This record gives sequence, structure tokens and C-alpha cells, in this order.
Amino acid sequence: MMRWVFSFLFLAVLAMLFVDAEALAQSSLGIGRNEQTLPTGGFLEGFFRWVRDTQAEFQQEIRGLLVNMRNDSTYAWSLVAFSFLYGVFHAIGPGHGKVVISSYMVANEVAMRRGVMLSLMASFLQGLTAIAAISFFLIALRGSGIKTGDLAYGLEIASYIGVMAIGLWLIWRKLFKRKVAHSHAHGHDHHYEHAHKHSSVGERIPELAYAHAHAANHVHEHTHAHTHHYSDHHHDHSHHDHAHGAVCSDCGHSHAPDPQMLEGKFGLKEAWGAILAVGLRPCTGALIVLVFCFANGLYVAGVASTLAMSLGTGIAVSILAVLAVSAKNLALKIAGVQGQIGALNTIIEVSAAFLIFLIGFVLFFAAIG
Amino acid sequence: MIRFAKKALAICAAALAVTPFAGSAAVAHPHVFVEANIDVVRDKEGRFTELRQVWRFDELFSATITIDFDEDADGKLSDDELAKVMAIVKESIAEYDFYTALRVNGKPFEFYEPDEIKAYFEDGKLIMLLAVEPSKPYDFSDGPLRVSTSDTSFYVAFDYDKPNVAIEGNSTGCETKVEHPDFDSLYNDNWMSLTEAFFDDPANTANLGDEFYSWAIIDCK
Repeated sequence: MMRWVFSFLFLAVLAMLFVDAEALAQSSLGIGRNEQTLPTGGFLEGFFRWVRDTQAEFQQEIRGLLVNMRNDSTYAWSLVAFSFLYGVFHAIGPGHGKVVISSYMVANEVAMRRGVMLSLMASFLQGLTAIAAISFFLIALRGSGIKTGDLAYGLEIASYIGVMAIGLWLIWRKLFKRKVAHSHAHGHDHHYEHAHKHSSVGERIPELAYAHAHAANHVHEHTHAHTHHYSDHHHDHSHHDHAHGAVCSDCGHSHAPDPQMLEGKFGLKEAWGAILAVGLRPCTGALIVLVFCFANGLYVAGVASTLAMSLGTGIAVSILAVLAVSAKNLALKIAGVQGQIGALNTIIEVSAAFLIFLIGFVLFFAAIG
Repeated sequence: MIRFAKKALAICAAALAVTPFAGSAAVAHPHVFVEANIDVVRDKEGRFTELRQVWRFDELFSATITIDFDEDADGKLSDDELAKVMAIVKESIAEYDFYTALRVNGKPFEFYEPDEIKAYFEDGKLIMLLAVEPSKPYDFSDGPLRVSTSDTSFYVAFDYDKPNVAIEGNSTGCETKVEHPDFDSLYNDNWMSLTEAFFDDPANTANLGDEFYSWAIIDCK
């Protein structure tokens, strides 16, 4: 019952924020291309407007610096600094990457440090995609009739399809394969990890595995059949551990990859999928800067500016993603008092997965529409 | 009661978790920055007979256009290449009233489509020249003429202030000024209906109302 109430509340929140895509693929000017952005709900509009205005100011600042750099390269450091700030504001503002990465982290039991890596890698990939795309364009496509915007468009479409696919995959996994999804996040003590390594070896060389006294005991736990009181045994902070599959934000510090390894690099592949899906879409600001720089022979400046943007975006997305996961944990903690935690956790995770799909869906149809 | 409060709190925190600072903006953010000059031409009798505009596109956008339409890959746009660009631009901005709006007494003042939009490059900037004629000359007897150069889709951000506005020909008794929108109060007053308008008609962010654009005001006694 409560589960449904929560579900509908979530769907309502989602619907309010995300129904009806904005499709402005074609610019009013006819040349150049307008990117698709996600519409915002009303109550944060003022904040977003401030972000947008600030971002536009930085863009103007970058433009001025670039124009000056045609004659005087001493503007390079200011360029890098403003590019960084532009990246930060881009991440807070119109980028969809932050929503996808944050939601991915909420939907998965991704340890904080891993999540930060995820954010940074996705952002840097966005920058690298932009550099590769413009380089490729100038070498191979110039004069072909294909526009830089067409290339960006193709990459965006691929990115949106990827985002949709990841969303669908997560929804499917959360809803129909929950046992697998909930099996990890418990591998925090060394014996357990130890046993894990031996057990995987043990599949091939049984003698080795059984040579360890405790190995057989722990192999059993790997079958994902462990119960809640098992996890209770080696957690000492009680507010987290009775959630099966809850994110354990402050205990993932030393053995974060291990739970992923338990799933046979399943999670790792999936994380790469998310990084790729987000990173495939080149940063629009970077594209504009790169075209200008490369056209004027400012190759180093263009690449440096792009990477500075990526760093800014990556840091901002990391912070937002960590905030999102913290909010989830807080919700679980509050709900935990009443024993609603399992249902709430599932709802949050499925909603986050659904949100990822929805973002991909909305942007995809806005792009092709 | 406490149970309820806790539940509400949990919902809020959870909502925050899955809607991480969603999306961008009801009004798309501009990608192209243009410095505009607005020249109002008055004949000997002091009647408004023509509006001339100069649009200076920013260097980054100009570079993108150069690369996109550079068919012979020589690093610059030839007259032919530029002509193709301008054909696209003209057709496209025709749907946006050539980014031009005229008002007298709060009412639209009609004007004819421009014959040709001239374009050239200067200092790495794409420059466009656009001249339109009003459907009939205006003698300023009904009050000031208001002119706005703006993209209602907010793809192009036009920038102009008093120094960009001039009167050509007979400027006797005329004063010019530029009014900019006060977005802070506009959004505070309107965000609810703005959001609604946006969701009702997402493709058309146009017709937000005159108060959302900058206006050059030409007041001639």
C-alpha cells in the first residue's frame, strides 16, 4: 500500500518536471544548431536563470579572451580559468549528464568514490569527444557539406539512445532481477574478500580453495543467498545495515570494487556503459571554442580550454551526484525508523532508473522531432 | 503526527534524490551573441520611412559558420558560399519576423519583408545588414516609435544600448533611449504562467510579451 503511495508521488514529481519535451533542434536562424535541453520545473527557475546568465557571461568572457589570444598568448591562463568556471556552471545548468550520472548512482549501490570517478570520467569523455569530433571534422569532413552540427547531432542521438538503454536495463534489473541487484554491498571485511578470491580460483582448482579453513564457509555466501543478519554481523553503524541492498556511503571506502567483482565485472561494464552514454555527447561549449581555436591555429589553447571545462563539469557533477546519493541515504534513514526502508529503497532505485530512461527518451525524441 | 512528518520528510528527501536539480530552462539559453545597431531613417518631413539594422555575430559562431559552409575548404567563405548561408538565414528568420518588431502605442506597426539581407565578414565576424520599410510612413503623431531586435526563441541574443541606436536624416526634436527587461521581477511575477505557457506550447516560446525584450524608443516631437 505505502509502496504504491510512494510510487505515485514519485511519478507525479517526475511527470511535473519532465513531461513534454522541448524540441528546438532547428535554430531560429537556420544556421548553427540549437541543442535540446530538459525543461525545468518552476520553483527553481530563478536559480537556473542565474546559472544561465552567469554561464553566458563566462562564454562572453571566453570569447573575448580567445579573440585576444589570436595576437597575444598570455591570455591562456585566464582562458583556462574561465573555461573551468564555464564547465562548473554548465554542469549545474543545462547539462543532462549530471541527472543521468546522479540517477545512475542513486539507482545503483555505487560507492561515493567510485561515483566521483564515474562523474569525472564521463565529463572528460565529453571533452575528448568534442576534441576528436572537431579534429575529425577538420581532417575528413571539411567541405563535404556535412556541418559540425550534424556530427554533434549524430553523437547526441547515440548518447540519448545509450541513456535510454541504460535506463531500461536498470529498470529491468531492479524489477525482475532484484536478487542479483541486492546481493552486493556486503563485502566489507577481509575474510570475506579473501574467501571470494579463493572461491573464484576454487572453481577451477578446488584443492586450493579448500586448503583455507574459512574458505568453504564463505563460498556459501557468494551464492547471494545470505540473509540480513549476516550483514548485521559486520556492520557497526546500525542505521544502514538492515536495508538489504542499501547504499552504504561511508563504508565503501576501501573495498568498493569488490562487490562489483562479485558480479563478474557486471557492474563495471554497466558503469562504463553509463560513462560512454553520457560522454558520447560532446560538450556544446567546447565544440564552439574548439572550432574557433582550430580555425585560428590555437590548438593548445583549444584543447586546454576543453579539458578545463571537463574538469569543472566533472567536479560539479560529482558534487551533485554525491548530494543526490546523500539525499537518498537520508530518505532511507528517515524511513528506516518505521521499517519502510526496503520498499522505499526499491522505489527510489526504480524511480532513478526510470528517470534515466525518461531523460534519454525525452531528449531522443526532442532531437529527432 | 510525527509519523506523518517523518513520512513527508522521507518523501522530500527521496524526491531530491531522484530529481537532481533537473534540466535547464523554460527559455532556451542563447548560443549566438549579436551586437546590433538600429538606425531609424526619417525623411525631410520627419516621417519614419526605413529601419536599418546591422548585426555583428560573435567570432565563435562566425567561425563555426565559416567551417560549416566552406565547400572548397579554403578557410573562408566565398561570395557563393555566403549567398547560400544567407538564403537559409532569410528563409528561416522570416518565420520570426526577421527578429524585428515595431510598435506604436503598444500596437504592432507593419513592415514589408526585406528584399535582401547583405552579409560579409569583418575581423572574423559575420556581419548582416537588413533594411525594412514600414507599410506606411509614420509621422510620430501617435507617440514614440518602439523598435525591438530580438529572437523570440532566444537562440540569438541581441545586444544593444543607447549608443547603438541612431536617427538618420531629419532628427530634429528626437530623443532615443533603450529599455531593457527586468527579468528578476518578470520571473517573480510570472514564473507560474511562464512554466504553464511553456508546457502548453513548448515549440513556441514566442509571444512571451513585449516586456521580455529590449526596446529602442524613438520619441520625436
